[in-house]
Amino acid sequence: MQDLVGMGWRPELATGILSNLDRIDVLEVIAEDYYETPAGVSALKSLARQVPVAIHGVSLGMASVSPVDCKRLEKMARLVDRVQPESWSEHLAFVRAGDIEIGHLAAPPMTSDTVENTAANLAAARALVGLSPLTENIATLIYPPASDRDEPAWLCETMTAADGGLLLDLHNLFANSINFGLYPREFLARLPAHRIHGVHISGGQWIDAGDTAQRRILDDHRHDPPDPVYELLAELASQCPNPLTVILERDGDYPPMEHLLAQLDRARGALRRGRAASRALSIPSSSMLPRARTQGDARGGGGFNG
Amino acid sequence: MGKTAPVHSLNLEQFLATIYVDPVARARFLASPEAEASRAGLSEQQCLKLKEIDFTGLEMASRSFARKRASKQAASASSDSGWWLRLLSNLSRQKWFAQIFFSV
Repeated sequence: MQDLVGMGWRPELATGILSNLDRIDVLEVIAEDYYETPAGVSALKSLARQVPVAIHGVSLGMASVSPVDCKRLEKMARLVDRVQPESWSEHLAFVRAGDIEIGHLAAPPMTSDTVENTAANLAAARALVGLSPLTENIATLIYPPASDRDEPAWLCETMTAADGGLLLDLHNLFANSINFGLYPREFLARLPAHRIHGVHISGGQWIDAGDTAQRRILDDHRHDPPDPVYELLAELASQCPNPLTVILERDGDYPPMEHLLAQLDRARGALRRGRAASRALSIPSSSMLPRARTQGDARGGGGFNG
Repeated sequence: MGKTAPVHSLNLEQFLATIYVDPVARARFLASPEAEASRAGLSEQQCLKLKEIDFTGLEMASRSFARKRASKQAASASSDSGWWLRLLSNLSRQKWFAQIFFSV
């Protein structure tokens, strides 16, 4: 099983990335950065010949009760056709309604209507692009209004209805869990591990609510992934039967490249621990041991990408 | 392509987008959640749900969306000026352009 660990391509990181491609397994680029720049697409094709590239969209608004915009989908289809990435992905969010652009990813009401319409949008995307997208759970500062089920349930139903793959953002899972009273490990355990193919890791910060004493975690991509995110990654690797593509996201307050590369190494370590635990659990005698003990015993052994 | 959603679901999305981006509409909603939701054509069940909306999160998310929109506008403006600067810079290296506009 070949897990890949890489980072999001950002112009500010270009020099550091290009001079360290031997330590980066995969790069993820933002699709919208390349829609209007033929020269950029040529450069991207050249980059894709050196390292696997994943394309990530931020503006399609798949988790909407409105049909996804064909023109935007066609742009994605052209880019995917030209670059031939290892995968493409979008968020489970709505970003506009009518002529109102929200400006960022908004959590849809978690209802049967949004499950059905998201699945229909994903089917349309698959048909037009010719390749099924991975879809990413988003972080939200507001509990999705007018919902009648919680996020893990909605994600499971949507993935089943769409018969699609999940790009699991572990910091989004962590932040939403803390902000809205779920246990991150329980959230993870409720997701269909066999549908998870991609992972995002990143960091954020606590922000105050203003005039109340409340505070919430903002997923700002300006900080290192916190320890629980790496623990969740190891947990996921112990459960997921698929090879995982893990992307470190950073969108500001850029540290030295060596610091980011160390985080990639930490992610590889978490994957290694999880895969080793998974192998240990698959041995019949080990399966009789209590879960925590089995994982602890397995921690020291096994190789990477077993 | 896609699927036609019930009108009240489309209305709900439109309503949420409005209160996220428009401070005046948000203030009206906060003053009278159920009445404003009803005026927007939402179902009785949706109106009841919105009465219990996460008010703290609404303010935080709206602020966050506003910052994102401002940052995108700034980036777009900067990119526009960058485009003109690059074009001007390239043209100024052309002899004919310099002769016409810089009287060289």
